[in-house]
Amino acid sequence: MALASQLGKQIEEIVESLNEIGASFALIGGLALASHRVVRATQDVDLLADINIADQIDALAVKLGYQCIFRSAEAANYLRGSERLDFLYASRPIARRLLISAGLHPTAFGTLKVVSSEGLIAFKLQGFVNDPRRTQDLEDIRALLRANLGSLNMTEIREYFRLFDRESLLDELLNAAK
Amino acid sequence: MPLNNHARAADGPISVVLIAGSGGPAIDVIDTRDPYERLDDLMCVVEELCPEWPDRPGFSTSGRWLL
Repeated sequence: MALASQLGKQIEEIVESLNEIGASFALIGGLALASHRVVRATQDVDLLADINIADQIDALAVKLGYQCIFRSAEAANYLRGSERLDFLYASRPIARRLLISAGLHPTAFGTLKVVSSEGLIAFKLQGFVNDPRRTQDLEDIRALLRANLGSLNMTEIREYFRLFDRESLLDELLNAAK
Repeated sequence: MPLNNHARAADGPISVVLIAGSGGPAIDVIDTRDPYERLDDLMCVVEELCPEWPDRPGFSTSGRWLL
């Protein structure tokens, strides 16, 4: 399928380029929602990638015309005009497990590796806890719970909320989703 | 249903609000297309209506990175 949106073309380019260097990565963020029964507009390409290839990714992003606007041991943000490309780096056991277990999804954007719904909720929770202004993360969690309630591994999800001391928030969200 | 409640299940019935947030009828439609194809269609419209998005917050430089 020929992609018509700027976002679609951006994803196609970055996925192809990352595959060419053999990078281990998976979709997270608003884009990944589409693999889990939630479709919403987004303009950011968010990826989870192995920390060990952060330098290779940086070189690739620059080669593709992106400018690095932030980089740490945890994450990096790149900008090319109005196009954003964000990476979270997997270095700890949970993120590494979520990266390794990410599923392959044949899509209109090509075959994409996407983190599980439970993992996506975990990253959204981490984003919201670290910056409560990111209310879209909370809305995405609500939408994921509502759309996938019958198939989610609630034990795993509760562990993530416990990790961030937000179990009561999960109970509120679940009550609203039922 | 609020107007900004745009997230919806990809495979199940989709509530579509016509005209205005609380003024139009909500109808259920079935869309069996690839959700990324639908996302591509949605983004074509969004990019036409809003070519420049407001600044979005990047990753927090502090906080609890526990995952």
